[in-house]
Amino acid sequence: MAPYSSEDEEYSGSEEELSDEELAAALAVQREWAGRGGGAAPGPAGSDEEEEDAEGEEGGGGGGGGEPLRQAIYNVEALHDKLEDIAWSEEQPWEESLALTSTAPTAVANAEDDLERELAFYNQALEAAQTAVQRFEAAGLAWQRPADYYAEMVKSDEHMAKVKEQLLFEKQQIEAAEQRKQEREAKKFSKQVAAERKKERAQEKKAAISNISKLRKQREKVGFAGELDVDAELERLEGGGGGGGGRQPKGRPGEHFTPRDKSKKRQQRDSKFGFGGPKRLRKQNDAGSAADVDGYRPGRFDDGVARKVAKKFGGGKGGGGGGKGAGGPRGGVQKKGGKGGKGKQQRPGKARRAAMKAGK
Amino acid sequence: MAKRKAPEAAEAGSNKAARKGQGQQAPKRQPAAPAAAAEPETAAGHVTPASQGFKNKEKVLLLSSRGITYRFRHLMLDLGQLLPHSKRDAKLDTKSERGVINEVADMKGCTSVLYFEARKHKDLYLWLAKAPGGPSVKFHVTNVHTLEELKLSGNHLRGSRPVLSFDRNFEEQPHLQLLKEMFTQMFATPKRHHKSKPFFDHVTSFSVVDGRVWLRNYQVVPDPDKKKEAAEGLALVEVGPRACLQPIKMFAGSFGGPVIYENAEYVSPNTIRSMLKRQQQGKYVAKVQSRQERKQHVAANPLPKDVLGDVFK
Repeated sequence: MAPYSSEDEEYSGSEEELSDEELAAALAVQREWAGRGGGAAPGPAGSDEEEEDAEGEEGGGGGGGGEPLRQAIYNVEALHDKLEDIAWSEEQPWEESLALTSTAPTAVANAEDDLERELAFYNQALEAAQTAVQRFEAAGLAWQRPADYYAEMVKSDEHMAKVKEQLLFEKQQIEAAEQRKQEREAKKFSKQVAAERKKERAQEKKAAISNISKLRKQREKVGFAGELDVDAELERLEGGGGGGGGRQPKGRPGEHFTPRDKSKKRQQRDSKFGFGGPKRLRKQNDAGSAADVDGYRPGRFDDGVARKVAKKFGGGKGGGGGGKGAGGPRGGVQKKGGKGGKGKQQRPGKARRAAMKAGK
Repeated sequence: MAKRKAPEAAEAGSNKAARKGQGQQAPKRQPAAPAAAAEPETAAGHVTPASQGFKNKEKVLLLSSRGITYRFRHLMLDLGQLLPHSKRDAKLDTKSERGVINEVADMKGCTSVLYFEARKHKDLYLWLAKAPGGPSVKFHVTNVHTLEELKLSGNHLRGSRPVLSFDRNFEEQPHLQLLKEMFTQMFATPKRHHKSKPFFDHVTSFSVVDGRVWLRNYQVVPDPDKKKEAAEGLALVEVGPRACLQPIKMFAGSFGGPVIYENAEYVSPNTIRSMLKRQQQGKYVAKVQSRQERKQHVAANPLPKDVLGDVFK
């Protein structure tokens, strides 16, 4: 394996070392240079002007003003001589060389256009291959390799495996791109569907509101007589107006269960222990709770002084508690306040308990 | 000249020996288009049994100069794979004395030479020469793609004889006619060569576009279902190598002798590089100058005093 691969290079770049801009500049330079040198126009090598120059019949005046550096040599006589010298001595059957000439010259308008150029080459080669096969068939030659004829190829099996892998990879990439494109399309479409649904709901809501107002007017007319069964009335109205669109039953399948009637106990417990959601950070202060001074009672401020005063004057009811919970966790405020309000005897501190024990 | 001769040259596909005899008397000898390059119009049935006296004993010497880079070396080796009738020799040490190559070719018994001359580790020149007596051609090689490339996905038998496909343009000008004959002789594997295989599975094509010769090599894939006629169901897959050869000069001798053709359009890569550098050289000077000009301009045109400038101070 060669120390390079096709990935790191442009497949059909014109000049390996040059980037695109450089190449463009180089081409411009080349044109300019060719236009100046030899006095020949930058056309094909066989332009009339140049031939005249080459034969030396017209002198060097054929240029475009710039000093011609040197006339390009084109010795037709010598070329023909040489051709005769090297050509095979007599006419040989086609089989000896297998050379074919295309019927039409390969014309490429823009040689820089890779696709166009390669297509022209391909067509030329294909024509030759077809002609060759026709000739082989006409001569009755077995030109095709039998399926069981194995022989050394120009590229090794390992290399061909790599080629295959590369082809597969390219195919996969194309498929993935297609997939992404389709998904994008679907996404666009799903947005449309969602918008449609929203619109429908809005319409439904509007209809319901108008129904209710209608009902109210009717009731006004009657003078609010009799018991009102709103659901039945609405059903009736809708059936009369919409042509029996029909309301769907309440507990239809697939609808999420929403507990509407929680017992008081459950509510209490939920508020106490929390229900659902993350448990962390629940007992922490946040900006809102810190600023919340609802539970703040100046009279019940627990700073020890108040307690001492209370003790001195035989109070002790609700002395502690509330203040501590003032900035506390949500939901904890009422609880502590309630506790303080009950006036439950507070347990003495550890030192005092020890002293009391000793005193016994 | 070439244009005037072109139509005659195109129709001159016929008897070579007769033409040669004629050539002695005629003041201007016509180019004999190689007999081998038979006209496609004559189509099927052209394959005739080989004549008795002739045997193609072409042998090609493949040679590179010192300092060849990996890519060019791979191109050379790939061409060696395509030419089972080629011989390789060690890298040539000198770049000035090319006459040595003739001796090497003589020693190896080769009748033609493909010499890859690398310069500056970036430019490749290819010499095509008929060994002892000439002529020889020097090409500048660009756009080299070797067999290693994964995008060239074809493959074919090693040593099967290629069908050589030439562009019609090769018939149009004398120097291209000569090139065609040289390519034919070098790239056609001799029939019944001991390393060749008797099947047809690739086409080597030569086209003339933009004054350059473009070399391509394709695998021929027959229709797998065989539903169509054999010739109709063919498809090609490129095998490689690829190269673009711009002729620079042609010499009458082998690696020397009088110049018989010179390409006026050819600009050496050295010139291109130096021109590019020259284009870029003024960059800094221009930048400094524009900066100074800007400074002067600002100094010469002070901004008018703002009436409301110090309202909020």
